[in-house]
Amino acid sequence: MSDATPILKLKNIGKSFSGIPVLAHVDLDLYPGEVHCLMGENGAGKSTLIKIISGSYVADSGEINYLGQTYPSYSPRWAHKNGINTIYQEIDLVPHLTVAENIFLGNEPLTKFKNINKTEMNIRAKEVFRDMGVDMDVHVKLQTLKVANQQLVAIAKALAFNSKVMILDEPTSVFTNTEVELLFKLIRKLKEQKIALLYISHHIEEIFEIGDRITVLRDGNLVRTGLIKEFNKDSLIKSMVGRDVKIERHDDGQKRGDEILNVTGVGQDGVVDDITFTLHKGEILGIGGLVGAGRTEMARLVMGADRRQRGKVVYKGKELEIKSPNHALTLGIGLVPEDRKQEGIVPMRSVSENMAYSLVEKKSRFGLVPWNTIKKIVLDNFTDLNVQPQNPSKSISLLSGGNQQKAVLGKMLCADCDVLILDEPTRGVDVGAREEIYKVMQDLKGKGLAILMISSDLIELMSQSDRILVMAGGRIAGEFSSNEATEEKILGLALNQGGNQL
Amino acid sequence: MKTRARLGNYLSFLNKYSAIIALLIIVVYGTLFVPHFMSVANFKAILFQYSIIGFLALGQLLVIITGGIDLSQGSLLAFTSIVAAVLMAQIGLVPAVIGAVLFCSLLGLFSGLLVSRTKIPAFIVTLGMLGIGRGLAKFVANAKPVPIADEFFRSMGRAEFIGIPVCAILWVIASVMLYQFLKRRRLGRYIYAVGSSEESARLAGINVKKVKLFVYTLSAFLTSIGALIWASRLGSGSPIGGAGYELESIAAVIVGGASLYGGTGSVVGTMAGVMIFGVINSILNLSGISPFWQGAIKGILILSAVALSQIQMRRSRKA
Repeated sequence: MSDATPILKLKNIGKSFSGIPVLAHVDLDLYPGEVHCLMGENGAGKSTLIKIISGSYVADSGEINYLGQTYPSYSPRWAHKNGINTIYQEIDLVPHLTVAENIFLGNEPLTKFKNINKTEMNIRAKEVFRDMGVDMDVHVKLQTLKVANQQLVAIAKALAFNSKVMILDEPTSVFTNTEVELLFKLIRKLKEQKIALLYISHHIEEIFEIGDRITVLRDGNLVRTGLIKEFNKDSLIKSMVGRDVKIERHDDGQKRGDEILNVTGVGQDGVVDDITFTLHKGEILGIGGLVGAGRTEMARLVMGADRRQRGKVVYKGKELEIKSPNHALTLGIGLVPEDRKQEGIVPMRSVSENMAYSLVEKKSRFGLVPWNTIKKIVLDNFTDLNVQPQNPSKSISLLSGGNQQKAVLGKMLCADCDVLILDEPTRGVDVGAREEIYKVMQDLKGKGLAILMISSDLIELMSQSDRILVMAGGRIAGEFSSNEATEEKILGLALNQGGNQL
Repeated sequence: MKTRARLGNYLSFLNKYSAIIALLIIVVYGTLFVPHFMSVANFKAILFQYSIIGFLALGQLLVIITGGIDLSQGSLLAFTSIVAAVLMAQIGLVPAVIGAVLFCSLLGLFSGLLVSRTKIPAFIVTLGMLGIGRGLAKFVANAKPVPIADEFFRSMGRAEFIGIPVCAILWVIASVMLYQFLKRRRLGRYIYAVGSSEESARLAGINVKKVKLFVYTLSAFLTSIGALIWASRLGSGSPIGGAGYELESIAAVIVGGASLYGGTGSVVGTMAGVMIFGVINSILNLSGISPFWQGAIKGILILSAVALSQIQMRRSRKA
């Protein structure tokens, strides 16, 4: 902003994946020496946009103007060479090499015999950190550093090669408060060096502390770009959600049954803490919050996939220690995981076999699996679910995402669960199948099952849940009844709490 | 942060030298409790025998650092010995030796091409090459040993220089060169980078395909040197020789502190790993332990080495 011409100018960028538009007509200007914040809910298109800027994705339409030249696209390597660097949450560094080696990887200084000049490399690496004002031992292997320090190495790597545009993708999500302060000091220094920064963060306080301008995306569209002082917290959240849709709510509050699961003070260091809630028969309890708020981790602790350090879980009136997901299943607590491909299905095997896995342990006697009994149960449930194509012996890999998800739900139905934990039940599922999954969920609720539904989709949360808990920074930030919940309220809670308490 | 780093360094120091420490302990044990172990003649014998595995292990080390594996070494050894024997009778010593090394390296290059340009896992590619190498060796030799007449070549395998086996001297020279290469050359560091995080290496502009091509070719090249020593000692080429040598070289590399997941491994550790197997082999033989037991004992050694390194890794990760 101190300079009149933008260093990077995106015009009319559009991108879709398998026909579904993720970005449409997005413009973005980046000036040297500014911190430009990119805001939006989960799925608003932020990641896609930064991947286009860093060269990982090619935009379907639009153009990128960098340093006065116009490009339809470029490669990540080109971007790196020409001063556009992205510091990702997952770090793109080599764990077994030293800090200095990582910084100069691919561009090592050489001696006259073409050997790597280690002395010079270490000195130059130290200089970079000195300029950054960071105390760092450049001789240690990267894998011995904490994630926050690894992130500093990634920034140093960018700086060592004349970075002009730096994209910081949620850099503080794993930082402690002191580390955030250090990063902000560094960012201010980078601003003085006229580096343009695109800053993505879910922490609203941070945005107002460090940002100069804000661009808000919603559902792949540009909502607004403006100076930081044109926004306040409320108006920012409003522009991030700002939809005007009528939500059909399912809350029939009265019919809530007996308490079935009671969780008190559950926590694990550095992950989640103080998790307390009750779940009743015949209710859907929605868990909202941003990616990284600790929702999945919370579910894993509750059902024994990870060991909790604190707190107690009371299930059907008895306090107990759930040892593993398998143990949870025999107790009647089933999990439909978020990552369907990795954790939900056994690829290549048939749909019916996949649905049967939850029964094998339960029904087996003397180590023998009664396949015929199991088959009957599976087929009963299969017809109820309306899985397409209606052929239970088809390989599950050949089904669409929505139908795979129905089969995974079916697996839990077969096991006669009393509590179902659904982690992002409709992610990557098309609209039609989504409605059917909702119908299955509501049916189950009607039958008296208790459902814990983790979802990043605000509309889904509000339309399907009876109550909504919002998590932020590994804690429960608040609770709404379905009727009082609005997008603004949920997002406000999810964003307000910094993620740095743990 | 400083203390964390220091602890990490301390652990990686232990990890780096644990093979040497283990070797020393075994040697002390042998000296104290095994008659005839601590003698010049015995150590010469160990060096003569294990410098062959030593060459294979150096090649295997490079492949394993990239996260790959080379199962074809034993077969390529047989193949090289046959090519050398056959060519020597026809075109003379020097061209035959060059030809044998070249042919073997070409097969390694072929493995490297497949590993780097296709998605076929290294395990499968080199398993295929294991079959191809053995098959070619049998085909060329008509499944019979091919005697070597050249006196100079035959004498080399037994040659000594100031009382030290020449083949062991060559092995040490090769090791020193490889050590310098891995430490100082770009390509050497890139081998670690590719094994540690292939995607990051690619993003940093490293030609990952070239690195992979190189390690499989060099593995075959070093195998062919080992094969020449082996053929020289035997006085012939054999189509059935070297079976299982690849497993011994893998074992030496792993005991030497490398990880099959890639990214780690050192020349010094590998040399110690080779010598550990050489010394243990000698101790077992001298103690009169049945050869049937020896395999099992070596197996236990490999398992405990890997278990130890994993415990160490877990600790260093916690620290």
